[in-house]
Amino acid sequence: MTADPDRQRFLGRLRAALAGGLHADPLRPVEPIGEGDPPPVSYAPVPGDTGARLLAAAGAAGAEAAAVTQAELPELVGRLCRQEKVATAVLSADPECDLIAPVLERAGVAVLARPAGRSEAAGADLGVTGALTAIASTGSVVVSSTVPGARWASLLPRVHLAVVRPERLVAQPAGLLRHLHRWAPGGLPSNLVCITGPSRSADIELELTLGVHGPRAVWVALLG
Amino acid sequence: MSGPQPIDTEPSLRRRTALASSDARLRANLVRASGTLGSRKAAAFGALDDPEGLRHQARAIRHRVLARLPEVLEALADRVEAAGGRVHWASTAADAADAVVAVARSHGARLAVKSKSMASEEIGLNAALEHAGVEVVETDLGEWIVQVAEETPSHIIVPAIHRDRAQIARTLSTVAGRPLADDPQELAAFARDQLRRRFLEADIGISGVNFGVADTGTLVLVSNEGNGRMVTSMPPVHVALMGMERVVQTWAELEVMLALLPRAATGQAITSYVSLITGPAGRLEEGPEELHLVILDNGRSDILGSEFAEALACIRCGACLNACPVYRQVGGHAYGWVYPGPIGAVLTPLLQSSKSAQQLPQASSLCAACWEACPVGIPLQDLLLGLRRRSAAGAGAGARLAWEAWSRLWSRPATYQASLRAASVADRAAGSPASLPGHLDRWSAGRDLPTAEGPTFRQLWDQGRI
Repeated sequence: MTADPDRQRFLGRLRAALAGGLHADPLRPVEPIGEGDPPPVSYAPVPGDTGARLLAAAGAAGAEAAAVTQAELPELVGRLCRQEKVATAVLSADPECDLIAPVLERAGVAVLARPAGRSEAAGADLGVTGALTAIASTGSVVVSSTVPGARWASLLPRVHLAVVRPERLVAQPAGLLRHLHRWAPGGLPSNLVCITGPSRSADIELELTLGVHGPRAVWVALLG
Repeated sequence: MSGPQPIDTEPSLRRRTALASSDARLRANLVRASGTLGSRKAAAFGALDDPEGLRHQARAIRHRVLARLPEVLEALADRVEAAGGRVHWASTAADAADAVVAVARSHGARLAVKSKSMASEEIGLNAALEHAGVEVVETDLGEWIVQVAEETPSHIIVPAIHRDRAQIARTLSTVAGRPLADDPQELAAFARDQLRRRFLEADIGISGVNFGVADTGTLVLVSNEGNGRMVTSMPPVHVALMGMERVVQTWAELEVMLALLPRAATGQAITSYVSLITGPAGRLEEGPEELHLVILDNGRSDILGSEFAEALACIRCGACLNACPVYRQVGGHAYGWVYPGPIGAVLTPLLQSSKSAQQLPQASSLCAACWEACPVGIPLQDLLLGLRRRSAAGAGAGARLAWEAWSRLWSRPATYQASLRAASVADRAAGSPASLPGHLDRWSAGRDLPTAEGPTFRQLWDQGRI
């Protein structure tokens, strides 16, 4: 326990304010929900298995998303590099990147660093990471700061490629948010980020612009 | 500076409203933007099984958290500290600004990058830092535009909603030193270049907090541009500024709130980035070495103990702004302070004592569109009415006498008709009156009096013209 006097004063003021209980609205009373956890958010059903839903939702969020076998990876990476004009790349320490590194080299892409450092990532065209988990309903990939290089590789280059293992898919955000012990059994990392499609802004006349600060393009490869 | 006049510095609500509603471009931008956001929101809620049920649940969650706020905040602070962060308890705006300035000084910081934070606007943080010799750069595209234009934000989610692309191009051309085309893609690319450099140089990153999760000491930040990620990843020090009410106890509660916030704000199922930050970077991790959480009261504890406590349930999505017929006419600056729209008309008079702030609850039609739009079900129109009641209770004897006289006059048919005939005659004699006589002028000073339209309904009826 801390003896911080600012804290004591602050909390004392709040306790005094709540001495008579929180004001209850007489016109529109709050329907009480008791003490426990609220039930998970329920969504209207969407057809397809979790893999198909991930690809559809990621696509709807502006990502390029495809299911690929290991044998098909070179074709996908080649297409990515041509389409996004990739000459340089950085990789995270994720084991999924073991599959990508040789493919990039064969495609003539210079791998600047693995794991990616901040300055190499800032100068690279492409950043490659795995994903701790991925959320089918939103098309999100989740990147953890415990993986060396993942934080920079997923944020600083123009293009981000996330390689997702199907056994790590969850159906809804609740699969991550209500099951932390599954994804972070040793305690939470300092930074977990759910990434859904490219960086976007609508701050100028609500017109969509991509790649404002984060990657302009996000590719999701769901390994088959 | 060309463009709209700085109406946010105009002290009179009446003048601010008049300036805003006479700006045709502002009104066109507002109507288009708030209409788009409103319809996207409706589509996003369609993916939920039971939107109305979820709204009730969310309201109950917020209520439950506020009722136990001291315990929730204690748990949050203990967890943040256990994860290696430092917590600063700021009773006032000045305390909060001092805490951030002290952190900046202790690192000899010269440049701070900031992601969007309403609380930082509330405490005047940029001015405090600049006074201490720290340059502050806003990094949300809209906030940056507004900062370069030396204005203040006019919308919670879309700060530059009051400006169109031509105005923005002119503003950013002053930074570029060359004319930029009024193309949003080009303007955004220019911003990326400029701001990327600042992210790499910055000594300190300052962010707001969308939700603090007490159970684990996790700070949740949502953003679409990625500036929230940059600010909390690139500089060696991260300072998060959080209004004391922006907390939940559990991740289960967070799950409900995260389903609602982006849907209500921009009509998205999820924002591009949801950052879940628990302490500074560990020994083997990349990211900031220091994390500071500043918890801000600044008048909120007075609200917590009042009949207006539910105003603290707000999750700052901005949906009530887009739904509000008054906001859609006048925009954010007319509200005169940091928080615009219906929630601003409630919070501002509770947090600010100025006369103009106290008038804000009158600037509402009480149509309750805000309540319908609110994803956590805050009955904003009841709060506005309550604030009017509070003002009335503080009114002078003269105003009370006048209202009692009016009430007697209009509660009997004969005197009611006499008053209308008098108004009609007076009107024809003098045109529309600017104010009422005697004590009544205090009431009419802030209002436009209606013109009596010729003969009364009863006169027309008696003449057989209806």
